[in-house]
Amino acid sequence: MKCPSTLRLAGAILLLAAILLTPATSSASPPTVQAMVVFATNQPTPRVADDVGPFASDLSRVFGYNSFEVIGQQARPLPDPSEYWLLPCREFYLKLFGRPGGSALRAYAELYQKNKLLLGLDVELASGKPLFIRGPQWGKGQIIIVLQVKP
Amino acid sequence: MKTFEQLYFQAIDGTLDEADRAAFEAAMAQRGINPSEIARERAFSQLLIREARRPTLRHADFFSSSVMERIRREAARDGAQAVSRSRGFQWSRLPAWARLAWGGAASLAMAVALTLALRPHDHAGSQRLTTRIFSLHEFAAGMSATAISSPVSHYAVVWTDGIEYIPAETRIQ
Repeated sequence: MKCPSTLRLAGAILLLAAILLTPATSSASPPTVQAMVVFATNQPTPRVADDVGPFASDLSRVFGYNSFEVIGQQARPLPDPSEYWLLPCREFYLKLFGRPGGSALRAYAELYQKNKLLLGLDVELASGKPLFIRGPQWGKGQIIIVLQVKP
Repeated sequence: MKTFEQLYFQAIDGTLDEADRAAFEAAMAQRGINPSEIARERAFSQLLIREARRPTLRHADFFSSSVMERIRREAARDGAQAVSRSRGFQWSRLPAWARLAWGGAASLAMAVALTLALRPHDHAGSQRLTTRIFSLHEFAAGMSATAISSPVSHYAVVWTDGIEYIPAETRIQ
């Protein structure tokens, strides 16, 4: 059976569109929750770590620093067991009691400095909208703990 | 002066005249050819001529009309296919403006497909959600914390005071 050229052309266009659209709809990886410890300083030549780039301007606006270095980070996929630890570095870590749902994570988070519990907070983390926790001063800079859900 | 080959074939065909016969026989004797060989070749030649006649076809009119009918049928079918091809879509037969239009339509379709494929997807309405802090508890002595968040901001902040300073020489990585 012969296929008219019009149909073949239309078929080729539809096939191309299907190929292009398929990865966009089916390649969604599960979201992750990430804890990151950032060291913020003021430098003559500002340096911003790649991982901080998406929210570096927000950090600058809130904390008044221009350089951001990532000291450590850890990410875990969602959904995860309801209680788990995020250990971005040896000094600070977080314990999460989470109830993941959709792209937001409702959790009770505890921030520890070594073995010392600093604070606890009931929080809902929206995807791509981080939580900044002002940590202690370290040397000539400031420790900032970033908690976020990454899509 | 005829060559020996010309005389040889004339002898086989039986067209050799008396004047050439003596010369041919002398040439045969010189080459050691037996005259009986000429007779055998001549008999074979006549057999071929007799048997190679074109066969006469019985009912020639019937076969001829059948063949002509078949030719007419095939010609009609080829003509119909040519007409249908000429009526179908052929890129090379389109005028320049139509080819431009088709090319534009295809490009537009690809652009739409690329836009849909590359646009950032709204994961379960994440654009409508924001990070919120519902409650905050300080556990360290001398420490205070304040939650700052709003529905329009891209982030939320816990502003702490009173956390003990970490000396620069302390390794925290």
